[in-house]
Amino acid sequence: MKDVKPLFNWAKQHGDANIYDRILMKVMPQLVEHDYKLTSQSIERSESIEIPQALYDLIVKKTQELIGKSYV
Amino acid sequence: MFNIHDYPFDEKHNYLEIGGEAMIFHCHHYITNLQRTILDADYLQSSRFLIGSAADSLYYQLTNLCKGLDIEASKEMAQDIYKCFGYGLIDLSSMDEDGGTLRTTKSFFSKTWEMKFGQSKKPVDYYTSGFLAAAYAVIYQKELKDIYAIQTTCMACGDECNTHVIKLGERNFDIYPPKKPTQFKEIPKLKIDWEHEEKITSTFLGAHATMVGNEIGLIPAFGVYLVRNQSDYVNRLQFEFVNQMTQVAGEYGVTLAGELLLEAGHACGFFTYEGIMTSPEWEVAVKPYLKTKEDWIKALASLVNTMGWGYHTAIELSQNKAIFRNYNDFEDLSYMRMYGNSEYPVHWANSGGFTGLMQLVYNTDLVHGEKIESEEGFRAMRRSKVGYKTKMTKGISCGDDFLEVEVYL
Repeated sequence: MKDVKPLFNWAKQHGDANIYDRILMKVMPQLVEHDYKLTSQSIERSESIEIPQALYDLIVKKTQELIGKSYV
Repeated sequence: MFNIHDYPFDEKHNYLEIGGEAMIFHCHHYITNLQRTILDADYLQSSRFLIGSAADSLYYQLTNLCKGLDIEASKEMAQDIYKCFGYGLIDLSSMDEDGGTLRTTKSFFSKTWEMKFGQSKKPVDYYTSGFLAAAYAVIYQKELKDIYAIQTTCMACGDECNTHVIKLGERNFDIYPPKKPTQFKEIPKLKIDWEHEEKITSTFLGAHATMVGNEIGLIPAFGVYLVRNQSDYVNRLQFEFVNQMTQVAGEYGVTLAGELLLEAGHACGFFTYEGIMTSPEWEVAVKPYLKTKEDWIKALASLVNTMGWGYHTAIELSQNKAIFRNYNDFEDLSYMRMYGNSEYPVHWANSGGFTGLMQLVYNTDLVHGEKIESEEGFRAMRRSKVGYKTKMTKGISCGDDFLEVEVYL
């Protein structure tokens, strides 16, 4: 498992106002498959969001595509 | 050939119809944002409804507008409306019985996509592919179900021109059942609580007809590019997107899609209303009547009620909370024409627009003349300020008498 909240924090600093929703939209089938129903509000409220490594890797990839920068 | 003045504005319902299709303005911020939202969900076959929604609306409209016209006159009519409505320029002279390969260097979609987001990896002018499929069907008496329409090059991708191929073949877009006629809700309106409403509305009544495509088929106005959309085209994009997201993720899909559709409306309200409220026309004809921030919002509603989006009014209005209504709003009328009733409110563009307006008036220094014009400025403002929340509470398609939305801190 891996905490994806730091990635969302980074995305908020560099992306659109609605970047959380755009990321979630990109990976919605995989979120549903893993039974995660994240929203902008739940992301804001959470201090950490633990998700499986494969899902984490996918979200990193899609987030980088949306923002056009590498997440390090 | 086509003359916008032949189509009277329906003052009773704040509505405009051309060739049987309800028509509404949108700005490039909204259209590109909406389309990007749809394309972000790259696991959907969205090109089918991006092309199909345009083809369906244009098929009905051109069928009406070209009635009794021969092939050449019908081509001229189609070219005229494409230009007048602000989509760019299209030359149909090479189209024949077999369809054709059509090229243009003037495209609203390609130009504004690149302006807003930079270069695209894929062609973005799905509307024109749908438009050309419909034009081909109407002019050469083909059926939409037998047509293949695709864009093969796009200026937004760095190509020199946009190329669209239209031919008979296996259809690559969706077609839809016949629509119902527009059904207005005939109830008394709660007027805007502002003594200058009628003055402002009468000043701008008819102004919509001055917003037509220029020599390159674009409508630059209020610091944005406008297009006069077939309402059912642009709204079907929203509705089909939400339908498909429902299939992917049920109620969760509706929630997330709704958030993104609201954001598109928010950007539209923010940039377009900002442009209107900093325009020379506003300075001369409206600003002398404004004393409070609430006046700015009521004046804006009085003005946009001449644009065909329904009748906007405010039931409650303060910095902390507003309740807005729209009687005969374009999204609900559109939904009912195409789908009937809805289990949840479907007026994301209207509601996002109201939210953008609140943000603009109360969370920026617009009333003191300070503008946020850049994309980055918009993003920074949206990140740094306390944002308004949006709650869509009533909708005509849900059985209510009007659209109602709460916007609050």
